[in-house]
Order: sequence, then structure tokens, then C-alpha cells
Amino acid sequence: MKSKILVILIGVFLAVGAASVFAIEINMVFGGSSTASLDRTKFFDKTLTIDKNNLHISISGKGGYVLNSILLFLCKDKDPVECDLSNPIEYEKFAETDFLIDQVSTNGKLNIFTLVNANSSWIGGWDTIENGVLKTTDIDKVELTLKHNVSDQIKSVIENFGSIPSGSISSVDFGGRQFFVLDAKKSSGLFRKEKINITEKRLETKFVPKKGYSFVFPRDNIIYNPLTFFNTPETCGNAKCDIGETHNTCWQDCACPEGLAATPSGCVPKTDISLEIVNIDKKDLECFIPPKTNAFNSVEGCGFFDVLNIKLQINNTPLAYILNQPYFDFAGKSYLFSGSTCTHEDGEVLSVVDANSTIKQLVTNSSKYSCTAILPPIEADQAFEEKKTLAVVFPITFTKSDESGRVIGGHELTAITSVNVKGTDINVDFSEIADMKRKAKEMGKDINKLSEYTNILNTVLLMARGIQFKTITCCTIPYSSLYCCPQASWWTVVSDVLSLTSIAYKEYMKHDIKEKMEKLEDERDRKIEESLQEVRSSVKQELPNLVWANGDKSGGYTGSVCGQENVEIWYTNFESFGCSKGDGLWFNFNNQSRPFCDCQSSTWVGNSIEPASCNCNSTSTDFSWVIKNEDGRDVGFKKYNPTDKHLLIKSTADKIFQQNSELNLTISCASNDFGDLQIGNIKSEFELLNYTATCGGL
Amino acid sequence: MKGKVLFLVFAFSILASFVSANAYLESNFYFTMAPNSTECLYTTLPSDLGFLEDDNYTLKINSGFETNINFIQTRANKENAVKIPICFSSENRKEGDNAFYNITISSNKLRDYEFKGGICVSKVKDVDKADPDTEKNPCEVVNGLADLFWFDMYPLQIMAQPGQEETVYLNIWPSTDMELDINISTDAQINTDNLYFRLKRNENKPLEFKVKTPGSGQYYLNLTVRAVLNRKYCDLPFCKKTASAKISSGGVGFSPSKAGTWSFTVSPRFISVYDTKPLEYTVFVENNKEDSAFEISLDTPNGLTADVKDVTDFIKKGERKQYKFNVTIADPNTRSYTIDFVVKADVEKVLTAFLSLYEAGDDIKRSWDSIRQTVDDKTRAEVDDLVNKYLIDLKDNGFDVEQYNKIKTKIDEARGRQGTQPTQTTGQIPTAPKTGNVMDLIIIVLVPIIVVIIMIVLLFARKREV
Repeated sequence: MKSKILVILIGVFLAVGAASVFAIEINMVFGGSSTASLDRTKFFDKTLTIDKNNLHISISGKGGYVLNSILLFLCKDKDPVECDLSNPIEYEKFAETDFLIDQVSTNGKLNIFTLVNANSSWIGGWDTIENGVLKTTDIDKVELTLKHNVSDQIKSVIENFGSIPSGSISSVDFGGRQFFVLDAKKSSGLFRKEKINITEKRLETKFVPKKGYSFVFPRDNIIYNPLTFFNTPETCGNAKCDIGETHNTCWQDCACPEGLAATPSGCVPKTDISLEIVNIDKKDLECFIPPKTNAFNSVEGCGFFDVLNIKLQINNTPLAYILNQPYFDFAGKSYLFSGSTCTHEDGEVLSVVDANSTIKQLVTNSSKYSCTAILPPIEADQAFEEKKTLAVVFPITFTKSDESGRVIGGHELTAITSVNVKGTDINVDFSEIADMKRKAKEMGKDINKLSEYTNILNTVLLMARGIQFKTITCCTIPYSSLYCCPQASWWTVVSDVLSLTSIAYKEYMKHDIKEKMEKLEDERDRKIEESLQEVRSSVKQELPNLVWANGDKSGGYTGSVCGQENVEIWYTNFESFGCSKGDGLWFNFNNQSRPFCDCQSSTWVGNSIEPASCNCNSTSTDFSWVIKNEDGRDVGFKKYNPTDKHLLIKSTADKIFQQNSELNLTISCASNDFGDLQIGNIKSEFELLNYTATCGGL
Repeated sequence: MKGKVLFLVFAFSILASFVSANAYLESNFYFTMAPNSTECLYTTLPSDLGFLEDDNYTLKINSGFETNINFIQTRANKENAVKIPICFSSENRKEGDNAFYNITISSNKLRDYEFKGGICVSKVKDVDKADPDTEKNPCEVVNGLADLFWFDMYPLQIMAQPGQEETVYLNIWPSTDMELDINISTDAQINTDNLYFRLKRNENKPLEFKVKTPGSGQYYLNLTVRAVLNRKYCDLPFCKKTASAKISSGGVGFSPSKAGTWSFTVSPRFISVYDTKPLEYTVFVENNKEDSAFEISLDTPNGLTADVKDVTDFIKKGERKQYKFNVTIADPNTRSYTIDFVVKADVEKVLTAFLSLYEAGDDIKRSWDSIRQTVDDKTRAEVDDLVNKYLIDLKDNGFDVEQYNKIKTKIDEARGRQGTQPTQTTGQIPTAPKTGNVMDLIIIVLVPIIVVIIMIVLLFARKREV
């Protein structure tokens, strides 16, 4: 064995030890072999000086290398595995430190483990002082068997960084010696500078590369200076295609060739990236064509009950990409998802809104999504049953690094499925009621005409009575009685006949025409009631959970009022409200707006509310809401199951908040106008299950 | 009701989750550590001393417990900070063992700094800051209630020129409504009389006054703060706090706060609260170097939330600014927290605040548990009821000094009746060797042997007589 042991005997007065100046010969075998030389002394100077009981340790950068951090572990008589490595002394740039040997040693032995961060690499040292003698030993030779022919890159890393990239190494031979292994990960240390935390300690005979750093101490009867191995993923991700990295070994940092995109499993053809619908909670959908009544004015075409929850997965997901606003195509039109976006179920996503108010998500390591589609009414004027295509589109922009920087490439991922749609026409034929109306109108005309005859008869009768009165008066005068008395008798008869005729005509009008009219009106009312019953019955039959709501009852809930946040409100266990016990509800949402919180001045902008001040970082106060559809139109026509958990709305708080800080959900029943369904008044009693708010989310 | 009592006792016993003592060096800092464990205090040189001098700094650690280092001398400066862990080991120590520690930091250019404190071996984690002149042993300090109100004075070392005014800052923060009587004693000139004021719970009261020395020499400034609860002066130890500052006049040098650098304080630092309402922490930053940008942040542990996590501000030379952080206890089952306040400008400095919830309950519970099994059944049942009622009242109504005193007296009486000592006290540097076990051995083994020998001799003598 050609080990180079530097032994400096403590003199009576002074002994000085420097780290081994010998380089370690590292053989790399892949078909042929090549050699690298690891010389840690080119990065820093380390001197241990012993003066009687005093130990002076001096460590500083060398040859233009500035040290970023030094960790010093005093292990007493313990080996690297036994040593408590949790609390090192940390230095920012250099160490000039003295200890009293007898106070930091046990059984006359002091082992010192040093870790020096030089040129972005951690380089270790193991020094032993035993009975005043300093021993610092480097192994003379190491053999690496490589997986690929990357010996040139590895040699370059070893000689420039003092550490060995282990990702391409299949085995390591330290001349048949056992070795201690300290696995480590980077962490934040003094002044948030890079530090190393030892995560695992063991004695090994076979080297198995692990993610992060491994400090390997070969040992026989002595413990040698450790060699630093680092697995590429620890360095990968620094956005630099470092020495030793290629797109095959570190596609995270090194650009994939044209046509390929970086994914967790390496560079894959872009055409292999696909979107798949993993699950859709409903395949059979129902819509209804509502009655032409005021209650259903806002439903144009065939309105859906259903909210679709769709689970999607991107296959061969790019490592990092931008998800532009996803949407779905349905019945020939494109629509945004509820909340204007989809929720990622893994990885990390940063949502941003661009100048055009569209949502983009900066995504890393995320491939699973959940989307909620509120289906809009589709064009239909009669019942139907057919398959419709539902296509989910994820427009993504993935990033690709190359030697010159970051290049952006776009891609549109589409997943297609089909759903069965059954459209039910629950409209009611009101033609009979219209006919009744017409007949009633005609009969009204007849009555008017007959009333005119009555008036003429009354006028003639009045005139006859007047003449009768005149002739009777004349009959009382002596010289004219001869002429007038017979006239008076005549007009008396005429008037009485006319009077009897008028009475008879009135009786006829009363008993014949008016009765007919009343009958007709009764018939009309009966028909209207029948139609209503038909509406109710078809609504009951086709929409068993329908409760129409259009009042002004409200309930209050708490939540965040940070401006522009994304709000999700989930509910469960509604009261039945007396409208449709145990059934679902239809909601209208009052159009309310909330004031914004000025984060700088902590005051409300717009309406003022209580409390007078606001805080963008705190959760507080109550809210109410309105929900708008993608066209900006108020939407209050959604069916919700009163039991189980449901997403009520997903909107921005500024759309759901209002002045009096109350949840102003309107769910009472409409009445008044002819044709509406009167069910009763409703009071809302909810249990708020979950509330999430993300500032600036939308 | 009984279920509630049992639950509460259980909760106080089981749910207590205390912080580690891991902290930056602090004067009069007392902490517990479990048997056979390691706890570390840290210091970052030179910034922890308020200076950034390029110098050789020497740390000497003297403790009754084994430490990782007893001596270290290292060069540190503004560009090369050195963070030194001072780790105490309680290997082979048992519950109740305790010791003081003394850490001195000296350098060629600066005066010596001394950090004193104590360690108590206990499975229950706790930290406390005691008065410098406390005569209690470390276990008595950490087992006793100390955090009824927070009081500190800054700076404690004042370098002044004769006739030159220096500002002294006080911060007071009570965890319950109280009145406070501050007695000021000094041989320097001061622009205030004794103070008396009323404070509501969790209300921070910053005060400042000016001191001036008539001539060269050493002057003193002593403050005694006494709590007045329910219109009565509270005589219990935790109702009184003192602080002393030394004023050196006419010499060369500056107060630490004025030495061309910056400093910061936090109020409150050690406090116990009795509800989970938001607490307002105030960070005071005083800049005596060139105009600089400062980043003030806090690291909250799990179970605590803060309305603001960090603030960046520009502070001019000679300016003193304050920053408020509202902290809320989100998990009432976690009973103790450490909050690291970090201020970063040219260098980074850290101050740790210790917050505990219902400490007066845990202290009583711990005190009672230490003797509960040794008292007679009647006393146990009687005090159990009192303790349970006390714990419920504490949670429902907050801290009440009379009730605390009453239950404490009751427990002490019970202890007196059964003759148990409060805690095993060594309080020495280093811990005094214990001979109790050896004496027990002598009594148990040797006395019967001697008796047997005497009996055999007597028997033999009688036989001979016969």
C-alpha cells in the first residue's frame, strides 16, 4: 500500500501539521481507463499547530478560491459515525482558532472533521491528534467503474471541484477497504449561507450513490481523509449546465435536443406529452328546456343541472411549464372552467394574471389536475338524447434551456371524451288557455253589444214615459182633455210595454249571457290551473330537486377579505326551507360588490364597511356573493344537492363581498306573476365547511 | 364536570409541548434539559456582542455539567462571523440535578462579557429568565413562575461623558391587568421620578428617560419594578423584577448601542399568557452607523402565526424605529414557543423570544406532581380537587395571584407534612458530589451486620457464663 501518512510528532514545544500535499490518484474504468488527480490543497490551506496543550487551527482560501463556509466538528475519540455531527462550529470565511487539547479530547484522542465549502463544492478533512501526535492521511488510490463513457467530464469535475459526481458511477473500490459514509444535504446556516447537514451515518463495504452529498472515509487501521461524492440531482436544478452534466445525465439543466422536452424521466419527444382524462364524475348528463315562464327567463335553450368534476393527468409532464388558461369545448363552443382555471393536485404552481386578465400558472413537477366545468345551456327547442363531445384543452408553454439561455416553446394538449346528454322538454302548451281568453273576449264583445241594446231600450222607454207624462198633464186641462186623454192612455200602454220589455231583456242578459261568460271564465281558470299543475308535475317529475328561489333572505359567514383573492365556498346540509323537503335548491345570487382593501393605507376603497380598517394579510369579516358566468352575466341558476359536500362558488372576493358584510344568498320562492311557481318562502341556513382564499390568485 | 376536570388534568399533563432550550446567549437564562440529552446555546461572534471589531475572542465556559468545549479562542470580524455552539450534556444526570453555568467572552479590545445562568435536569421543558441577584437554584428558577410581566432596560452598559445626556429605554409588557410601581435609584442625574401606572394585559409600555453624569467616574442606575395586583402590592417573587445599568463616565469608548453599529431589542422576550388572543411583539431597531436598509423578520414555530413575517425599512443614522408583529397562538395545545426575531443589515443578529401558555398552571401541576404520590390519601384528594379547580379557573378566567398563592401554599404545606424537599439542589459550579446514596448503603448493609455481630458476641458470652 502506497499510503501517504503525514505524521508530525509533537515536539516538546511545537509541532505543525498541514494537510497532505499529495494528490489522490483516481482511476476511471469504462472499457479502457483514464486517471484524474484529486488535490484538495489547491482549494484551501489548512494548518493544525500543536504547542504543548494548545491546538491552533488555521483554514483559509487559496489560489483565488474564496471559502464560503467552514464547519468544524470536534469528535473527541469518536469515529465519523459515532461523532455527534449536529452542532459544528461555523465560520464564514476563514478559521483562526485555538483550543486546549485536554479539554476537547477524550482518552488522549481528538478527531477533527472539517468541511470546507470552496468553489461551490464541499471538501472534507479528518485529522486525528493522539497523545500529541497529529495524523492526517489521504488514501493513495481509488478506482471508479463508470456507467457511461464520461471519464473526461468526471476528471474535469474532480480536478476543478475536488469532488466526484456519483451519478455515472456504478462502483467504487478503495483498495478493498471498508469505509464510513456520511450522507448529507445542503441547508441554510450562518447568515443563511450554505451549510451541510449530515442526514445519515453508516459503515459500508459497497458504495451506493445517494441523492445529495456523501462524505466517504476509507478506513483500515486508520481513518483516511474523506472523499466527497455528489449525486447529480443535487447539482441538477441550478439552471446551469455544469461540467459533467449533459442532457442525458442532467436534463433539468442541460437543454434537450430540438423536438424533445425535459420531463422527470429525461428528454422525451414533445409528441409524447399528452393530456388524459383520468376520471369524469358523470357521463350521463341531463338538461331541461324550461317552461316559458318568468321563473325560467334566464335559461336559454336546454339548461344543465350538472357540474362536472374532471380529473386529468399530463403524461410525460415537462419539468416546468406554463399552463395558460385551460378551457373546454362543448356542443361546438368553448368555455372556461369554473374559477377560470383548474386546480393542480401535485407539484408547485404559482398563479399569475397577465395584462389581459387571463390566468397563467407557472407549474413545476405537477401533472395531476382537477377541473370543475359548469355546463352552460345548449341550443335546443325540443327533447333530445345524443352523445356530445367534451374536449378539455390545456394550452401549455414549456421552457427549454440551451446554451444561449431559455427558449420558450408552445404546445396545446387536448383530451377528448364523450358524454350522453338527455334533453327534457318540460314546456307546457298554453294554447287552450289562449283560446279561452279569445272566447271570453268575444263574449265580452257580445255583452257590450247587448248592453248597447239595453241602453237604446232604456232611452226609448224614457222618451215614452216623458210623452206619457206630458199627455196625462194635458188630459187634466178642460179644453184639451178631449184630445189628450186618449193619447195619455195610449202612451201609458206603450211605456208599460217598453218597461216590461226592458225588464225581460235585463233578465235575459243576466240569466243567459252573463252565466255563459262566467262559465267561460271558470273554464279558463280551470285550464290555467290544469296547466300550472302540468308544469308543476312535469317539473316535479323531470326536475325532482327543483326549488325556485328569488327572495331576499340571507345568512352571514366569515372569511378573508383580502382584495382579488380566489374564494371557494363549500357547503353541506342545507335546511329544507319548507320548499322541497330533502330535495335540492335553486339559487339566485344577489349582485353585490365589495370594496377593495388598499394594502398600503389599510383602508377600504369604494364602500366603507366595519371595521373601518382592513388588512391584506389577515382573515376577517363576513361576505356575500354573486356569481357571474364567463360572459359576465349574473348566474343564479344552479342546482345543488342539499346534502353531501359541494362547491358552491369559486369566484373572487370582490364579487362576493358586500357592504353590510353579510352573505346575501337569495333563495326565497317567487310568486306574483301569472305562470310562476309559488312554493313558499325560504330561509337559508348553511354550514360553511371550507374556505380558501389566496391573495392575488385571480 | 368531573369529566372536564379529568380532561383538563390530562391535558395539562400530556399536551404540554415545550420548546427546546436551543437559544442564543442570554444573561440569567435558565433552562431544563432531559436526563441523558444535549442542549446547546449559541453565540455568533462578534455581532452578538454588539461590536464588529476584528479581534481574537476568547470564550470560557464553566459549568457543573459537561460541555463540548470549555475554552475556545478564535478570530472573528465583520467579514468572518463565527458561530459557536455551547452544548451541555446531561449524561448520567437524573431528574432534579442542576448546576449554574458561567460563560465569559473576552477580547483584546473589549471588556469581558459574562453570561450566567443555570441548568435543571427535568423531563418537562421550560426556560426562564431570572433576576441577576436570584438566590434560587436553577430548578427552583425554572419550576417557579417568572413570566407574569416582561421588563427590560437598555442599554445596561453606558459609556458617557460628564454632562452628556444618554437615553435609557424601558419596556414593560404584562400578561394580565396590573399596576406597576417603578422605583428608580441612581447616583447620576435623571430626568424622571419614580413611576406608577396601570397597564392592561398584553399592552406594551415603552418608556425612555435621560441620564447625565456630573463628573467622571462610575455611576449606577438601579430599577425595581413591583406589580400591584387587585390593588395590593404582590409580594411573590415573580411580582418583582430588577435591572441595573452601569454608567462609566469620562472614559474612552462608547456604549454598545453607540459604537458605530446598530442594535435591536424585542418586547416582550419571556412571557406567559393565559388566553390565545393575538399578542403584539415590538422590535426596536436603533441605527448608529451610516443610513442603511434593514430587514426585520421573525421565524415562528408551528402553532404560531404572525400577521407580518418580515419588513424591510430604511433607517437613518441616529434613528430608532419600532416594528410591530402580531402573533397568534393557533394551537392552544402547544404550550410553549420560541420566536426568533432576526434583524439583518450589514450583519445578521438574532434575539429569541420565549412564549408560554398557562405556565402558572403547568408550574402548579408540576409542583404538585412532584409530591402527589408521597402524601396521604386525604391530602391527595383535597389538593387534587384544589389543583383541578385552579386549572379550570386559570383557563376560564386567567391568572389570579391570590388563587395561585393559595394553591401554592397548600402544596407547600403538604410537602412540609411529608417532609419532601422541593427539589434536589446543588447549585454549585461544578455540581457537588452526592454522598446520599453511599450513606444509605452504609446504613442498610453495615448496621445489620454490626447488630448481628453484637448479638453473636452476647450469645457466646452467655454460653460461657452458663
